Amino acid sequence: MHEMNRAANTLPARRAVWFRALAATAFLLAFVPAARAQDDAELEGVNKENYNIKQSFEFGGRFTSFSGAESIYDTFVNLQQGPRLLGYSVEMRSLDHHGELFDRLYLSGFGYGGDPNEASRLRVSKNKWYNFDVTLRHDVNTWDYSLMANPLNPTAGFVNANQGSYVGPPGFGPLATSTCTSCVLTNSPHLFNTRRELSDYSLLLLPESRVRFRLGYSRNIVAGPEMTTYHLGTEQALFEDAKTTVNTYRLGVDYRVLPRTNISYDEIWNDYKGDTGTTDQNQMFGLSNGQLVDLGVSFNATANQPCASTFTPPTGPTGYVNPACSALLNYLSHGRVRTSTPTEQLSMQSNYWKKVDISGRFGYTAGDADVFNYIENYAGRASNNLSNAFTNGSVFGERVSATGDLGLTWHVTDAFSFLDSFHYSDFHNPMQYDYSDCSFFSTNLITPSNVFTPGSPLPVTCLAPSGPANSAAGSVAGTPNHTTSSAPDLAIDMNGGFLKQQEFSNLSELDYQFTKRLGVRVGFRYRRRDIADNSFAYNMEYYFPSNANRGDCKFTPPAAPPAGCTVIGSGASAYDMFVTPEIVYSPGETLIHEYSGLFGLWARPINAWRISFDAEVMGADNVFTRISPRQAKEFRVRSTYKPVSWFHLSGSIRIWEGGDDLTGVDSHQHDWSYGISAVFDVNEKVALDFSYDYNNVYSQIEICYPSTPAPTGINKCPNVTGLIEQLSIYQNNSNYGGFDLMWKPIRHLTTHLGGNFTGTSGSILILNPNQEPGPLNSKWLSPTGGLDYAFSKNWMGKAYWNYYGYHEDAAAVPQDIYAPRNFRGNTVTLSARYAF
Amino acid sequence: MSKTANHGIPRFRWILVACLLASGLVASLLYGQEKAPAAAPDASSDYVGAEVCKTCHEDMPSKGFYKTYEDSPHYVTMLDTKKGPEWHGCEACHGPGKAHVEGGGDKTKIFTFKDASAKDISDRCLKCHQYGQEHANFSRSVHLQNNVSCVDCHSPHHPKQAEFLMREKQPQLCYGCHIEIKQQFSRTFHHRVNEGLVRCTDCHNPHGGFLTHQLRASAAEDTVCFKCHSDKAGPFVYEHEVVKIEGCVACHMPHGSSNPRLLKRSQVNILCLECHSLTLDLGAPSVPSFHNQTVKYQACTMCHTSIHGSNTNQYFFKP
Repeated sequence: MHEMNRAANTLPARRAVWFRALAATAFLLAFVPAARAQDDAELEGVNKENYNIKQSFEFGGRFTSFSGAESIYDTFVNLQQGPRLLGYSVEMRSLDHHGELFDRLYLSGFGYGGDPNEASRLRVSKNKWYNFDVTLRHDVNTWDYSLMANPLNPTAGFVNANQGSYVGPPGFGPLATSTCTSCVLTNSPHLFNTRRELSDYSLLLLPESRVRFRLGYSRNIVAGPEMTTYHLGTEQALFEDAKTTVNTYRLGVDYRVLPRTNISYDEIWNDYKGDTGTTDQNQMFGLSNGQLVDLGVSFNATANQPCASTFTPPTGPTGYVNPACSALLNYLSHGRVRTSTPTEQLSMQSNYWKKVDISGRFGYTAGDADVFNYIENYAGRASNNLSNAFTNGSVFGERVSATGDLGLTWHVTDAFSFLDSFHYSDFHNPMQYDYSDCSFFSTNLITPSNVFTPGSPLPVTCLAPSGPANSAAGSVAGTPNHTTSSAPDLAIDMNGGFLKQQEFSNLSELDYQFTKRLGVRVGFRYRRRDIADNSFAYNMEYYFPSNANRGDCKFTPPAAPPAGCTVIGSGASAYDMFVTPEIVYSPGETLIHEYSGLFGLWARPINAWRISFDAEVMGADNVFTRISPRQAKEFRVRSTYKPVSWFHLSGSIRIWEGGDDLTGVDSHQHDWSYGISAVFDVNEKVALDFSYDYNNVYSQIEICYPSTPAPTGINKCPNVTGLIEQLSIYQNNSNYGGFDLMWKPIRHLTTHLGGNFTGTSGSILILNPNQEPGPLNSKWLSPTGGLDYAFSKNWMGKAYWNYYGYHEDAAAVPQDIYAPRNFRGNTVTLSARYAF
Repeated sequence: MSKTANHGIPRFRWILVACLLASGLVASLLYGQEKAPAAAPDASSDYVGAEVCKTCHEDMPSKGFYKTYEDSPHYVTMLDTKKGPEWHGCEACHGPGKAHVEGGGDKTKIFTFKDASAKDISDRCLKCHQYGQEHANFSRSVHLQNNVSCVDCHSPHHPKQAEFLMREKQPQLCYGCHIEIKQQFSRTFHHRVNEGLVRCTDCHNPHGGFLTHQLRASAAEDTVCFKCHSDKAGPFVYEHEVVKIEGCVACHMPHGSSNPRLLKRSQVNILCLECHSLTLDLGAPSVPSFHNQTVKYQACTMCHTSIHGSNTNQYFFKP
């Protein structure tokens, strides 16, 4: 498996780190004078020239230690140690409101120096002339949760006999009975370590004039190494060098055409570039010819994975990879994805008529999507003797969408209003993939492919593999070694897909305010969706000997070839050509009507107490997926109580239930949440914030799946032969508690204590005996504590401790032993903050 | 189906944009600011001007109270010389102050936000702030329908966050009511809202919108998720239809989940089997008989890696 860089953390180093952190904290507290620092809200700033300037910056460092699963710590927390610019802010305000370049400036940021999340936000404005907003974000996304996409290899070993002559790379053998302690994957086969750079710029010119102009630009870059798997015989482990870039440009104009009426036009261009390449860098096991191969990630000797007799070749020394195995010698794929989607958007807003508010938006997108110069080169062995494949192709198509929204509020009286929202959208994506594929065949990994030369030229010239002569990556002239199920030797294909959805929805509501303390509304929503998909395939295929009468040209002489199939030549050099006689389209359509009733009520019995209640009940005559509910209802209650300025209590209840009683589906789901939160902001010396939430998720649905051996007492699936049917039940209960206590025991010292604690329990239908609940039975604890010490009016020292603890209840399966996911991490952050 | 070789912006769009910009510039030069009848406070007017308000409210109800207005962006109303007094200063929000002054500070003679309904409050703010796509739908928003007004989130006089005059920073402001959302973002796999990288307003428009849950949309009116997760947007030759039809939330919990990749289920195969179990009249193909669930294939995405869509393989084996 490809290794990725992580920060080094040895045990002695962590202890030294802790000592230095404690010593630094003690120094800060003991040797600086006491004074009271100002809160940000109190900062007066300094007046310089025509500006009042407030500024703060916090710099320091993190000291980190952890035990347990480093990969899981990096996935969840990823705080490494080192110096940091933890935060900064600048606020500038012109004193006479006539600044030269700007009147207001807000700039803030955090996380610079090595934190996984970094962001800066800028807002600059000059009265009547412009508003300029910038957001820059940098995100390090490390993912290595080992259970994800894991084949759950057992520990049962691969037994090799006659080990004495084994000379090969490390791994299996040369023991008489090798144990497979490394069979269990300790990393996710789909791990990644990518960086995302997000930048957004927005400029509004003449914000208060009748005509305003808007310019915007956004850029989104994702880059970094990833691992993936590819199913070709077995699941090969591939390396991806991810690189995607999105540029979005926006030009807009607003025109106040009438009093209280505004029309806007926007032109938006979205350009997507995908340049991710994929290679195989996981060749870890040896063939007897000295070549290395990638056997993939699934190792299960009992189930003959990756193949039967993996390390016991039929001939030659054992311990080497059986050349009849499916394996990769090398792999490369790349294509330049380019998608350009310009959008025209017209929007309006008006309350020209005092009793009517109207807003609308209409947009049209017609974009092109292409993949240029797609190539895929494969060398190895897959099923049906495939040893080499070279694919060249391109993709082209469109994304076309039209959307329209119209909203109206008619204030019939001061208390009674009629509201209506209409939505229309229509998108369709016709796409086509044209490619040619040259395939070569060999009986095993150490035998070169035989290359057939047809008597007449073909539309595409297939270059013979040029690898070593004692390898499947090489080639010699001869009759290819096909099985009766081998793929065509040459395929020139056109495959198309089409997806479309047209949607109408309308929501009408009546809103009545009895008093300024009580209001109610009722509504009805109708939604119609028309979903269509289609596909076609046009194939031109060439089947060389041996077994030329295969695939789409499968027939046994003297019977006639199938429609579209032509035998070219005769005797031993005859080959078959197939051309799709008639393009067959595969349309599908789904029409769905949904009806929803809505009810809402809000009340404010006294100024300090507010309650709101919302309910929605939905029914549909059809669904697009089995998990989509045909009936659903949702109820939400929220309440806040603030009797005095220093106490705030709030609570919420959300109940969602849905299901589909269709025979064979039997779906029932619910999601219940109950939460309460209290804030005691007594004075500047004490404050407490506490919250608790309970969440209960339940789902049941009939599923059909293959299982060998089939569990006893389970029914057969009524619609598909060979499968069994079982009620799949998923339950997830989550308890969340959090608190934050601030206490200022003496004038210059502020202490903080808090944390977030989440306990999750539940169950799920387990199909594979090596599976385990994993995160479904887990605890996630992150308490925190800290000190703020004001050693002058502008300077403050800070020392914070954060603990991160993740624990999954073990189910005594190999994953818990060889790929444990529990960890404990401590982070101490020491910083100094300067503000004025 | 045509194959477009040119990936540049079509020429007619450039011409159209240029014409619009030019006409806009001409219009702004000709018309400039909205003309309103000039109405400085005079003896017969019900408006008294901000300087009169200052005589009492310089340090009342709290020390430096008037200065909070002077230092705020709303002071820009005092710089206007074309509109009437109803657009200037304190009275632009609180209404005419003459009766309040003559009543010796009678609170019933002036508009106070404390006792007003959400609708009345919002009408005042929207008098200036309604223009633009950000606020155009507030009158139909779920917030206003539940009696949540502008001043429940914004504080013109005492903002805790100067930018946009917010009472509290995100996400704590939103958590004050949306308690159940706080626990979702505190789960192990979550969008980084608590870390400050993502804001609630990146995905939701608190002022309302045309979509349910007040969600924003991408530039091409696609789901907002594709703004950051652009590689999942496609279009693809082989679509995983549910992504485009039902949306990302068919499989993912967008705020946070205890399950990896913010999935709705802790095991990928169970999530897939819930749809891919053949039922009459429902289109998702069933699992083939050779996908023995007891031995392997516990994670469908081990093989079906490009599960959001593929351009080269109908089984989503590769991108």
